[in-house]
Amino acid sequence: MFARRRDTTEPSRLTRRAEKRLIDQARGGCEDSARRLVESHQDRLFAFVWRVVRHHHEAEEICQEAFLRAFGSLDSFSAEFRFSTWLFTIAYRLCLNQLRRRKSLTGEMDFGVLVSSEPDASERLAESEEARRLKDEIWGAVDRLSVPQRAAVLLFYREGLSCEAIAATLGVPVATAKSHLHRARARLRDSLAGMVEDHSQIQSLREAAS
Amino acid sequence: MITCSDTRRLFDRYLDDQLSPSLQAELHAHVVHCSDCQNELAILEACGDVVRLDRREPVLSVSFTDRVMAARRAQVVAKAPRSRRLVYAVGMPMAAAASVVLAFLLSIQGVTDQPLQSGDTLVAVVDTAATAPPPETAVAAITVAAPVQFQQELTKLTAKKLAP
Repeated sequence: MFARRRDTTEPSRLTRRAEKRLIDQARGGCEDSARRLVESHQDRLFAFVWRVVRHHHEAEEICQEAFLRAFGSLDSFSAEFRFSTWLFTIAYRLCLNQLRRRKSLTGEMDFGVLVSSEPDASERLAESEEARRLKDEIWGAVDRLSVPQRAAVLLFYREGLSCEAIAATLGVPVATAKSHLHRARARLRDSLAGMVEDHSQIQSLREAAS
Repeated sequence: MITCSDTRRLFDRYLDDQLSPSLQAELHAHVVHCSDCQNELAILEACGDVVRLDRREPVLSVSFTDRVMAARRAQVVAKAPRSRRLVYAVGMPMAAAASVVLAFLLSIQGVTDQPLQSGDTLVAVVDTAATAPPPETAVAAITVAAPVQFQQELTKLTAKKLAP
């Protein structure tokens, strides 16, 4: 239970030095470097944006716009930040704009019920019925969080960001970022408290998730 | 030994990795013997595990990277200085027009008595056709670097060449 796995470093992620070199070359107009920056961030960015807006086409549009805005102001990019933090910051603002626009069109903001993803059938068969049910319950609870809370949870667990980096990405003070994360946990705990009847279910879920 | 409410207050700091080793030890000691706190912590940890590891999002379109790069190229052109944009907007069509005129001139070179020799320049062809080559024929040899001028010169020279 106590073995927490917060290290989300993936082999495909760029090192800071490699990232800086690519940014310098992209600034100089090197298209290959710009392409590598896109390729190394696009999947993570899309996963985050899709989880926030829950719409495939909108998520792709937002990702493309985020890359273009990032490249468009590459000269003002400060090397003290990670490129990914900057990119996620731009994308998060675009998500908020998109959600506001959608709200003004539909008059409602309950994104949890808008789209449900249907995972690949073979993938679903590979896991137990019980584990899948629990995972779906958890994602359902995540979808019911407010947008900043959901973003904070995704950035913390999926991207492995610190509260300081989450605050920078969301454009809020660190205390507010912590508050989003802690309130999100409290809501998740309340939503899921009745879901689990015994401890063995949680264990099977954690094993399935890993 | 800390109480259940004390323990639960520590959960966030524990999950944020901001709990001191001594408080972590206290928390572990309590959770091992308290099934309620154990379940609550396990639910929170399971949420974190699922969000971190369950990647059942849809995937990006295959063409996404190419689309972004194409949009970036368009962005670079749009942001280029006005003079460079003028080259793209005017220079390229003019160069294309100059190529057409050049091709036309080469196609009518058979009218002259002497066939075009390997290594001859366009100026040479025109000179052989014109009885008194104007001094500005040299301009025609310059090239495509000044497409407008080039086109004008070629037109002038062609007219002379075709005159009886």
